[in-house]
Amino acid sequence: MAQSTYAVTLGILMAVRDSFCILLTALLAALLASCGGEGSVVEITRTRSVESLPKPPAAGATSAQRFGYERPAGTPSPHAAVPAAEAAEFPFAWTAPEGWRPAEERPMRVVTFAAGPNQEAECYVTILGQGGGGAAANINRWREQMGQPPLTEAEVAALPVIEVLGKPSPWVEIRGTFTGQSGAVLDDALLLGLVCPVDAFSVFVKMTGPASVVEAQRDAFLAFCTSLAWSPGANS
Amino acid sequence: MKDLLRSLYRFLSSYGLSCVLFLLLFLLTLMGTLEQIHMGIFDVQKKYFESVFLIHELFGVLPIPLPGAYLVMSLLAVNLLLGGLVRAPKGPAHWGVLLGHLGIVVLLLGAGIQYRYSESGNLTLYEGEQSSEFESYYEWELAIADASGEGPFTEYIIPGRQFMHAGDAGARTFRSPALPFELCVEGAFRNSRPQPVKPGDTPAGRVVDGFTLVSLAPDKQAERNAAGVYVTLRPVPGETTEAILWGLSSIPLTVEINGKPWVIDLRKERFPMPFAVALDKFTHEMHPGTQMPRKFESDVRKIENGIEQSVTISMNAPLRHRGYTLYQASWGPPDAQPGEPLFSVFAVVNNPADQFPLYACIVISLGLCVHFARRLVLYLREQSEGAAS
Repeated sequence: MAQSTYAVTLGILMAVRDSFCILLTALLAALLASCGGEGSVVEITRTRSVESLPKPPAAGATSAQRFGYERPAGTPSPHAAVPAAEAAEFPFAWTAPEGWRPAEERPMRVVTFAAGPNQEAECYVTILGQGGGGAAANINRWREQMGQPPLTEAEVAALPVIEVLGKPSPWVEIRGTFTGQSGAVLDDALLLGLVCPVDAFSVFVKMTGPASVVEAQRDAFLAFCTSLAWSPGANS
Repeated sequence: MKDLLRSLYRFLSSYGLSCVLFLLLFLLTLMGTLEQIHMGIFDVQKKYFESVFLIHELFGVLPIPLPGAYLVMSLLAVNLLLGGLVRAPKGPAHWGVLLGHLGIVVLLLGAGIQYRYSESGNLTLYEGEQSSEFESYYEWELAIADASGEGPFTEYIIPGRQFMHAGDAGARTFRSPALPFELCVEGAFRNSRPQPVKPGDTPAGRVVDGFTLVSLAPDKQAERNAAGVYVTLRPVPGETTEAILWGLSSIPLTVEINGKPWVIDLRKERFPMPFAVALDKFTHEMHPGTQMPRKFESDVRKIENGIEQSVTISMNAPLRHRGYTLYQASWGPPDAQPGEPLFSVFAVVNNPADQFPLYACIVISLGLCVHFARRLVLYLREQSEGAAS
């Protein structure tokens, strides 16, 4: 009995010794790693040859343009749905509301913003050619995304209208469960949308996210929509 | 001295050390798993599994110093090598156990090689696009290039690990004989956003061209962080230029120096591949009546030295070539409208030790077979001898 107690005690002591040695080694290694840092002046040693630059140069671009708060006049979005030559005919500008953060560029979109305290809401602008299928088709697609039944042509015609880019544009608010094409589901969501018909094209402005967040962004969204304006030099 | 080395050898090859190391690995795994309630997997991996030393806050209040899993596994490899192979008995009776230990050493060696030399990231392609490089999920780099001419262009790369540690107080200057200016990084933020400064505002940080960088808490999903840095370009001779570079900018900083346009961009680190991949077609199917994907796959062409090969990459059938593995990871945009072009995302891994786990499993299995076969033979022999007597 005494022997087994002695063996257990010895085992515990050895484990404590080993743990102490490991911790000491860790501290020494961490200390050595922190001493081995580079100086304040560093030579650039890595180079790479590329056929084309991933992002083309933009001489004279301001910080506001680089960060997506403004769009250089006459510069179409590289991912705009409308062919570049035709999109260049629509050089409109906007003012981003306070607190909105420019988000990563996405195809078909002119610009994307994240809004809300934790950037939970998304707002983006798209331009579609050939009227984009018409206001009713697009509004009903939005309603389908929110799990709501479609509206009739008469109901679409009765929607409230605000003036954007000089055109009366239907405004929609749809509450429901938002389902993205990837299958992502967001319960208690709110969609604010605007369809602005401009000649052969349609400009779509859409915001989706948790209802409470989008509700709080309603005024900002409206301000953003009405801030859309033709840039100098546009053929309006 | 000899006694000291002998003691060190005994310590490093002891069973006691093995037990303590395994216990520490168990604790680190447990703590690292629980910590993912508060931290993202990337940060947990850095803190618990890729470190030599860490301080774990028990219940958020009690700081406990611990060795990191990187150090623990390094010591375990040494311990197994010395205790399980060098010091262990070598007779035929122990061949199975020796093989088992050798397999575990191979496994640990593979983990070390992966940690030190592997590259991982993603490649996003739209139909009709091709690329011979992929970008990191988490790491950033500064790329500087003379944009005059038609190309090819030489990019001068500053890896993020050389400047991202700077925080908002550090400063580091980068230079190259080929560049007509020095670039000084005077503040780096792991997650940030540029904010316009209005008249009357008193921002905490520097203001450059009407903007200041606002530092944000790191996102739990580390790939969503948007890095930002303050930089100063110092040409000789010439006027200095201050600017903010932000990881999500769609337009790079372009500065004219000595009559040439220089492009400076903060972006996710890029890794070249020895071949190109072109996406011909992306297809996805949903389960009937739902928005749940049933399958998605990409028909790609692998292009190398002008030779093209068609390959289909699907969820369980990656493309493996020259040490690179391309997995079908996802697709998007998540809220794409019908008719919108979709992109396909491939997870790309270049791991020189990706077959090591397989080799280790084979060696360990062989060792166990040898060991248990020998035990079985001995048992049967004892039984037959017992029956005979």
